[in-house]
Amino acid sequence: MIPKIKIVTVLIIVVAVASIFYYAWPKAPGPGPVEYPESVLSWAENIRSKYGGTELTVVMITHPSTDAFKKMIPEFENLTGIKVNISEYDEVTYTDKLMVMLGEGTIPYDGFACAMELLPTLAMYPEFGYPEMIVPIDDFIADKSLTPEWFDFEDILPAYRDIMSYGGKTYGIMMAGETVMVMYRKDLFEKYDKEPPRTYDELLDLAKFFKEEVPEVEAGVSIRAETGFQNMWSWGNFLYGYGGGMIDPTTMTAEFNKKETVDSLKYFINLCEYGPVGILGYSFPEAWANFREGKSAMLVEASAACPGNEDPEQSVVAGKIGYAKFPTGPAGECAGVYGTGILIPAASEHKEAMWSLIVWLTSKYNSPKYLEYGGVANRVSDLEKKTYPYYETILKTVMEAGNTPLAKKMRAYYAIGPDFYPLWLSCATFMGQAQVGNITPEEACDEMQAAAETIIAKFVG
Amino acid sequence: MIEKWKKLKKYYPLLLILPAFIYVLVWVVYPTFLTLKFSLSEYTLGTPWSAAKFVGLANFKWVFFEDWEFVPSLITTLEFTVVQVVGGLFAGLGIALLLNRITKGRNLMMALFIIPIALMPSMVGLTWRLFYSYDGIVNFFIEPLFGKINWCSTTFALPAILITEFWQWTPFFVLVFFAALTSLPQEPYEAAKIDGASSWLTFKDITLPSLKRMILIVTILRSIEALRSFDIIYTLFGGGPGIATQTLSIHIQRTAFLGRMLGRGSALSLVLVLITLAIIIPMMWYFTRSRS
Repeated sequence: MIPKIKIVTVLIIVVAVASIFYYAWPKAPGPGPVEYPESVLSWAENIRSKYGGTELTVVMITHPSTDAFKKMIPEFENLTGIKVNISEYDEVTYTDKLMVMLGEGTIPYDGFACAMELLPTLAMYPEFGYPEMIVPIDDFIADKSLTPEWFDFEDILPAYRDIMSYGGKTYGIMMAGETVMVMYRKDLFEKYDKEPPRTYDELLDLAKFFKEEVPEVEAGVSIRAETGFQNMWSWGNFLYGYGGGMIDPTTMTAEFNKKETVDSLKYFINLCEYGPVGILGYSFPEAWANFREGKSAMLVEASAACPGNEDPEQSVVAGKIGYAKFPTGPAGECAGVYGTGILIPAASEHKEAMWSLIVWLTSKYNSPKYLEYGGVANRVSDLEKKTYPYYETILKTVMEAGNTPLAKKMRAYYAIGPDFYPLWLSCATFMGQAQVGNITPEEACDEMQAAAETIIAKFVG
Repeated sequence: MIEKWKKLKKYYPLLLILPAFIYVLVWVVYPTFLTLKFSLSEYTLGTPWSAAKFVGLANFKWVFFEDWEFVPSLITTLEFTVVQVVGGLFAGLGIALLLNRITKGRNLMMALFIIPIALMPSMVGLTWRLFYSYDGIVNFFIEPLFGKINWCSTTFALPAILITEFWQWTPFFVLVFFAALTSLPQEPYEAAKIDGASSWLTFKDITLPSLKRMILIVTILRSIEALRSFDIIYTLFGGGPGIATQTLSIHIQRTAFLGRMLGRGSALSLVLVLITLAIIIPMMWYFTRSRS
């Protein structure tokens, strides 16, 4: 028989712990008293009258933008009467989940996050005889009762709108856009009287200089080079600026063994020689950490790296970094533009309500709040404010180098459909073999050409 | 009533194993069946299941005759397995023999030995990845002797992985052999001592034969584990640089989940199973033969 005193003690402890959890557990901030303009109130009233009482379920990736959205949702729920449930997964788990859903032939959510690489494939599904997965949102955008002026679709960076489209139709709104830039040690560049690179040749010369002649750093440039997604992503950023290509989806011809493609691969392998020791094992975390630890003079990376660069708790070089537009290649300007957007699945029974949520979360009106909560800037007006030192460069890169015909050709590569991934793996492996010197860049490109032609034959057939 | 109960009672053992049977059916048999089904299909992950097209043995033909990565991956897998098993046997047995001689502090040492195998392999890989960085702790210690090494190079990446796996899995051998050594009868040793046998003779003629079955068991278990080892290899260098450390398990992961070619990945998985069986079955046969 347990003594009564012991039972009472245990109960007290349980109640105390439960109370601590209840009161100390972080709660989503309440909307608080807010004054809305008349245009917002009338929009909200219209949405409430049509879709109030609806319950939306949205699946997202773990991301600062998702964190910002979650803080904005209570206001939306109060205004519109639409209940929102967010399911959130880390990127790897999310990809696996998405693959299973696509296998089932339906995405059983009202909204979902989708990377720009996958969007064209999903949009093309009906062409392959597969079920329709996503719906275009052009009609929603054009409907003034659903899309008020304070949303301002045109304010979203043009390249970001472009990568959320396929076949002339818009399918999503960017939630976390990014481009690739050169981040460099401003202090060292000033000390050694160097200018940030404007061309590929200048980038290579600077990388060589800093690696061989500057004792303050171990490497000239830090960049992703690991075999797989990483090395192909890095090489792809230089490939089109060289005038090379992978597959042209408009003509369905492979361009891997073009002289310019081979030259770009040689250039990239050469550039890696001025990188840190062990660069062939570098994915994004390693390349980024190497720069933030002050070991490299430059970093060629996506703009998602910028906030961490300037955080003194994460970076010993915070405050010493300059940001340069991605350099111009022999064939012209071309900067990769990437990102994840929010899309509406065809299976959703509440498409208009979901669109109203997207409007709320990504509108120009709510942009200050979204950025304050830690979201990624996707709008021209936000980047023009130059709140952070890298904003101006992101804007210039996306508006200029990210909008050229070469950049558009680069993005069009993803529109070869589901076979994009097998080809990518094949190319990554051959590229890795060239990087370690087992085969020449010419041989690697020949192998990639053969792999691409096999896929094209299947596609066309 | 009693007759009915007696009739039902004979099914009682079946009822007891039913949960395990269901578990095996759901988590082993069904996935194996699905793997076999996909291995006979051309299927890109991310497309509807209905898009899977039956292609017969085309995927297996690709594995053996068209996949240029298969042979290098197989060689790396076999190198890895042999080094891990043989190295583990020698080191594990040696350490166990030394531990067997210690009386003071033996339990503490055993507890310390358990730590590596209690750690998650992926965390071990991530941690050792930091250790192997150019300015990492490994280079810190070896620099005075050999200078700094680029561990992520085609020369040193595989040795780096072997060292890490060895660090994590040798304690498994130590634990098993130590348990076996402590359970051996002491009379043969006493008799050998009286007869003036040397340590080497005692080990060769008494200890080793007594441990023969245990050696076979750990060899089988470790071989199975090494042939399909993935976590440390993946988290350390992802199978790179190039394909320098790409084992069959890494090749399967890349093919099925990076390349999204689930059909080919499934075929590779089944080939790995067959290779594992081809290595393990003779060992098992020898084991059961030596028992009888």
